[in-house]
Amino acid sequence: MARSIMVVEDDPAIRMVLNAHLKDEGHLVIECPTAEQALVQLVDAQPDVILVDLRLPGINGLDLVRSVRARSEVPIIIVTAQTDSHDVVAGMEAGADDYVTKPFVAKELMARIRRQLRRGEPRSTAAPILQCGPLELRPATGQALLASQPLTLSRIEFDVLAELMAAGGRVLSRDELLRDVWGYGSMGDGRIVDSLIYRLRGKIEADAANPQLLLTVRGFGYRMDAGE
Amino acid sequence: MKLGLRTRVAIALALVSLVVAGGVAIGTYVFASWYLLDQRQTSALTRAVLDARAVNAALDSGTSPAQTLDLVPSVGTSQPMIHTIEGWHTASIGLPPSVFPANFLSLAAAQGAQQRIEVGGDPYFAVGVPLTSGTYVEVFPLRELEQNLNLAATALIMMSLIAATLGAVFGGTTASRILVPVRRLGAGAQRIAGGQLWARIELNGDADLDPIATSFNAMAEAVQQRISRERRFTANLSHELRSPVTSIVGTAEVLERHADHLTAEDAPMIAVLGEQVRKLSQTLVDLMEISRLDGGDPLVLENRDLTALCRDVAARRGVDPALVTGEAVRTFTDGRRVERIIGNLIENAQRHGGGATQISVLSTEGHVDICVSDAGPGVAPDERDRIFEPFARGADPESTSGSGLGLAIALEQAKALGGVIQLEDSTDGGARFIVRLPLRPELP
Repeated sequence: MARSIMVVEDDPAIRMVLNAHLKDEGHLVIECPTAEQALVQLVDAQPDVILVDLRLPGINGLDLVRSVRARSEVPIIIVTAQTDSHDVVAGMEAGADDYVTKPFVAKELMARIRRQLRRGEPRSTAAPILQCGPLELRPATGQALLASQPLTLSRIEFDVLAELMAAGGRVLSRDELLRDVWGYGSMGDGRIVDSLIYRLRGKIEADAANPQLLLTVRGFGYRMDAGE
Repeated sequence: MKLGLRTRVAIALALVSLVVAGGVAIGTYVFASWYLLDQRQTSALTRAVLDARAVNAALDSGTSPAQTLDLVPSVGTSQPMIHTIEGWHTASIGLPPSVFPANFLSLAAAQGAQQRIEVGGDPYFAVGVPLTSGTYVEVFPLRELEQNLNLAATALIMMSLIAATLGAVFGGTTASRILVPVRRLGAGAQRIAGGQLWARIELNGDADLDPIATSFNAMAEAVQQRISRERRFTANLSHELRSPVTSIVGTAEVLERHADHLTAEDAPMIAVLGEQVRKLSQTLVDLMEISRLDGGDPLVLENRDLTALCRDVAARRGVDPALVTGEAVRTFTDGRRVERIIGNLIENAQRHGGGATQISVLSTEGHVDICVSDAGPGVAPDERDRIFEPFARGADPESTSGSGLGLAIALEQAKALGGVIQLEDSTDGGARFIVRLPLRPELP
């Protein structure tokens, strides 16, 4: 099945290169030189993954990520030439799922896209229901409940939470999460895990500054606490 | 080595104190001893003359010399003696008359005389007065006076030494206080040298020191601006290069994938293009990393097993993980940086040393050594510092495959972790890079 990938990138040369690689992979490509055009296209199109350059004329990439995330759980990968790592962190906190920095190797970017696409695929119906305190995840259907109320999680947020809940209170290091959720082969940037945890806490904790469920184990990683 | 300013000031002030206090002490002593001796001698003289008059009167009235001596009032410890033609008459205990110099007696008999003499180490003052028939001699001991003077001299020497010590202490503390601003300047310079370019020295309203501090701050400002300008330039340059390099790499990759549509002449050209532009891209990435390293990204410290980490890194670089030896070493460190260091050393071994032959992890007191050895030609001792410089090339002119920044990045990353990299010969003649990292058993 052909997947559609939206490319929001103002540099025509890079757009062209991405287009060629994505087509080689068998994807459909929706090219958008600006964030404004992307927002217009999103009214009709339902891309499976969005690639966003952070530095765009007009509405910037960060705002685009925020407004897409407000209405959709589609995976977003930031493709950025930003040298400062705090831009990457800001992008992740705005709702992106992963990032690739320029100059990227096409093979790596394609692998990242594949990883995100796999997230949208239906899961094994045999996957057990995960529970931790007031949280309940149903991997088979992709449903999340907090105190029996439906909880909206992006796919990667769901996966991180599922990974932590499946660990049953054991500490998972950033490396383990990067490897098992993001599919990083080599050591990734642990801060993208931190920003995702920050996002998750905003959704599942009563007081995100004082988490009770998703705990930081300083110097080791993160773990879930059912509160027994 | 030259003595420090503080020590020199302290020594100078101690010497000045010693000279002044010593001079005063010597003056005081000389005057006091002269004055006291003079007083003592004058009173002794007066006393002897008075006694002589009484003795003379007694002798004239026919009293025997022995009885006359008893008449002399015994004041203090003076010893009266009478010399007549019959010889010496003296108290039972006392100095023998033989102690007097010959001319003293003759002078005393003629017109009276006084003289300081010394008997058995003790000083005496002898006064001789002529009598109607004979001579009256009275000897006054000066021992007590000398003891007092010695006591005074000791006290004065002590006081001089105390003054010198106080001078040294005062000099030291004053110099310290004067040097406080100099130390602040030094501390400021040290902070800047240590990479804290924003360090400045506070002005505290001192007319002499503020201009120095102001110039120092201006210099620091200029250095900081210059460095941030250069850093901005590197960042902008690499940012500007990133997009075109990305599209060229991407284009080359697309062309490479379509190589079967190319002519036999074009295909190798495309391969060269792809290879070269990927190298350019890697150089750019390394350049960004090294320019970011100066910026001081925070360390992300996590508890890790360095041995397992090295095994992972080796496996990812196509090196047999069994070459990694050593027990598990757990420490809080930044895994990404360690991976960069070890990865770059493995790549360096592959490029110049025929591949890594052993990677050993060994924890010692307070730190851990990760050694990456190869069986290549090794590195000459005088080359060992140079190869860590950016774009330093090995002796082999053919080996230009890397970005030239790998070892420089490894060293900078090791420094960022508080460690160092040393280089020595491996047991089989190749090179051995030793990464020494601090062992952090707890989070700082």
